Amino acid sequence: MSWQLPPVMGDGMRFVLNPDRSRFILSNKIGVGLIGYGIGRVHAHAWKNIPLFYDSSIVPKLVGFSARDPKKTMEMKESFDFEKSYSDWQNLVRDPAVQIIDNCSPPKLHAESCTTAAEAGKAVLCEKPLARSADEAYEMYRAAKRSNIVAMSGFTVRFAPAVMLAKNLIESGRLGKIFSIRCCYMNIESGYNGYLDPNYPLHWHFDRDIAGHGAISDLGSHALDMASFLLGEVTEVCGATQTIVHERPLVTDPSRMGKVTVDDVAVASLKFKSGALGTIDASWMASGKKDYFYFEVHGSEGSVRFNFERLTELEVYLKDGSEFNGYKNVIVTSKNHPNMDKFWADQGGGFGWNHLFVVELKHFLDWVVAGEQVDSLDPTFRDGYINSLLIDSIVESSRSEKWVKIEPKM
Amino acid sequence: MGIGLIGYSIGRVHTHSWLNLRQFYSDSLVSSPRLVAVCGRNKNAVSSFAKHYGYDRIYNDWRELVNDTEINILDNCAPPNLHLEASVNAAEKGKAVLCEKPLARTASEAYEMYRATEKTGQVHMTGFNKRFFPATLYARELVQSGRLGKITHVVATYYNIEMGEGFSNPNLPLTWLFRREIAGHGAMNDLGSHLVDLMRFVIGEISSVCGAIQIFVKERPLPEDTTKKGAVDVEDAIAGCLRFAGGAIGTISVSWMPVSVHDYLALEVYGTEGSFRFCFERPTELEVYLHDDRDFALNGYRTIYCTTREHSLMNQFWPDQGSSYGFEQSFVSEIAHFLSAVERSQSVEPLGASFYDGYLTALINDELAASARDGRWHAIRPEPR
Repeated sequence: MSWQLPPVMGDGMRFVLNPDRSRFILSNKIGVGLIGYGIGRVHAHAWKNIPLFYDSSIVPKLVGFSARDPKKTMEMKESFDFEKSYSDWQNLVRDPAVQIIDNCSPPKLHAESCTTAAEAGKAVLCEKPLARSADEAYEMYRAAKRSNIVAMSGFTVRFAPAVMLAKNLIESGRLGKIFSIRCCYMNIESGYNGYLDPNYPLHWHFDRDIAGHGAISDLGSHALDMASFLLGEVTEVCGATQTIVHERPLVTDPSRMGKVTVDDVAVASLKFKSGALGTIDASWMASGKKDYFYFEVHGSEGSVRFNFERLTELEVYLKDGSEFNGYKNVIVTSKNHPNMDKFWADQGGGFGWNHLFVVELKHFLDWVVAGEQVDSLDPTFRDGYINSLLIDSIVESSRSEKWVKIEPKM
Repeated sequence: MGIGLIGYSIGRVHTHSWLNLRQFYSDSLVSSPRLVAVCGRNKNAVSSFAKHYGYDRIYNDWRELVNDTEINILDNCAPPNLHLEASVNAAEKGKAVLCEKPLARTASEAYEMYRATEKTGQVHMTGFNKRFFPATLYARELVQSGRLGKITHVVATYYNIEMGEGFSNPNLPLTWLFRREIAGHGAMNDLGSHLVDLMRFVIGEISSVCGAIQIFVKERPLPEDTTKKGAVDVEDAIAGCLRFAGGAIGTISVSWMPVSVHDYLALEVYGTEGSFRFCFERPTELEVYLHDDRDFALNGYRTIYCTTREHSLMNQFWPDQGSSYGFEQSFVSEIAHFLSAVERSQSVEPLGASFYDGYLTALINDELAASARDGRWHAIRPEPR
């Protein structure tokens, strides 16, 4: 796939030489437009940190930000030195100084804004879940392909050094033939009580029209992507979803209640093309869990397990026939571990949640500069579409109480 | 606020923090840091560092840097032998000073730094970043509120795989860390100073110490000529016993020899009503045991993830995310605290470590070393403020 940078109107140059020798003294800049302030805050942080960690001839520049809430929009502009802010994404996408659209809006806005951006020739990075449904996600994938732009899905956890180490162990055959994966993502989303509290307001997460699905989409999308990333194609799913709290106070008027139209808890079984089996759990009603994204993979020669709450660690079991055999707790913070060399090697917490985004956005920047996907392990819009198809199929299976075959469109 | 940096090793993470400060603290800080100048001896290295991070100018001599009138803050990340002179000079020229740990090579140097800087009225801070973790702050709260009862026992450990392979490799060159003339002490200064300060911060004052030190690799290749060797004249490891002013006793164990652990700063504290343990390799977690749990048959340590916005510092960062607070964020918090003190012309205490705190740590390190020489317990008798 080849992709041309859109022309920058006004000065007629693709990249503008840094005229003011401001904070980052590097030659070429590429304009980033960011939509949404939720997860958008860490994206803005990551764009600003790429030049601090990586030597790169092309540097992202925070050109524009858009969101509906004017106060939060001003805060974002101030904290991250965006040049401009917009009250709607249409103007941001139209801005000729913007070459990259980083879409951190809620899922409802993904399809239209990403497609518009693609048609305007912008490179697009879109947060997970890619869309509210597989159909929407497919349209986004097709639009990106039609417009010949680079488009990445934001499955950030793939970029953790410990996850990459697990992937390397699987790909290199160190774990032998892979039999199964167990993958769960459980938390309470926010604070001490979070979504467990039935009085937690009716955030857009609980609204099918905005979110598409509930925990299976917000958390399960990560778990499903991890399962596909590590073990390959999923051919069939069967699952169940459940809503626990059926109504919650309205954000705008807490004296009135509104209906929760998505799942709070979801489980699924997976069959992989390779013959392996897997299970998925997703819940935002998991008492005691802060951000428990966990997986374990079992193979004929060894196993690994990973917990996002301890992001720098991977537990590894390799069958070696010795009396000392057992899981090893590998601290994945050495310079020679994947994605680690640019960060704070051998320091406690030397790689954290925010660094995942720095790596992700740097990989995406590499795509933009090359005009095509550079690292084959990075998540694409196609991956995002398949992820949405798996989510839809689990929800369908919960209704029909039958296994559902996964047959993605080309 | 003009920043002048000396040294760019740990200076790299300081610089990173200065550049990230406004993203997290734009609501509470009035000023914006500006990277004015960086100083280092190696011309090429310092100039590429300056270019990468956007420092306006470079100096090769700290005397020029402290004379730069656009600099309001000296961030001293030089080796310990340069701490005293540069820091005091800067303060006398009207600059606030943040100085990396250990504050100085010896307690007497550190005390001189404290006295001379205090006289100028400038804000001063010692770079003990381990104070700035939600988990350590929570531990301190538990101790100070009396929730753990009377503290009886402390087990303090800091083992670190320096340079990614441990200093056990005898072929690692004789860098300044191994030279008393530059570093003052060995593992005790580089690692142990963090531990001593953290114990003082969380538990309270240490009243007497006794210790043993060991040098395992007696000589190392000279960096400038690896065919020749030079003597290591600082300790690779120490093991000591402590008495606290509050009545607790404890042990301290520090080494840069282990090949197994990466950044194993661990603190176990036992009280009459409860206990906690903390390990820097899992910096977002605090394990807490409370003796008054009603259901004794089900009692045990609980792992508290100090990542919700209710925990100190988290609200400025990324609450509720997996591993969202670590090494990098602790420096951002430390530097934000320092800058806020500078803006208000207030002391960095009690949350931050002042030069006086830096002096007390240096004194404890000196007395541990002295005890290792004479084989006796040494009382900690600090000079007055």
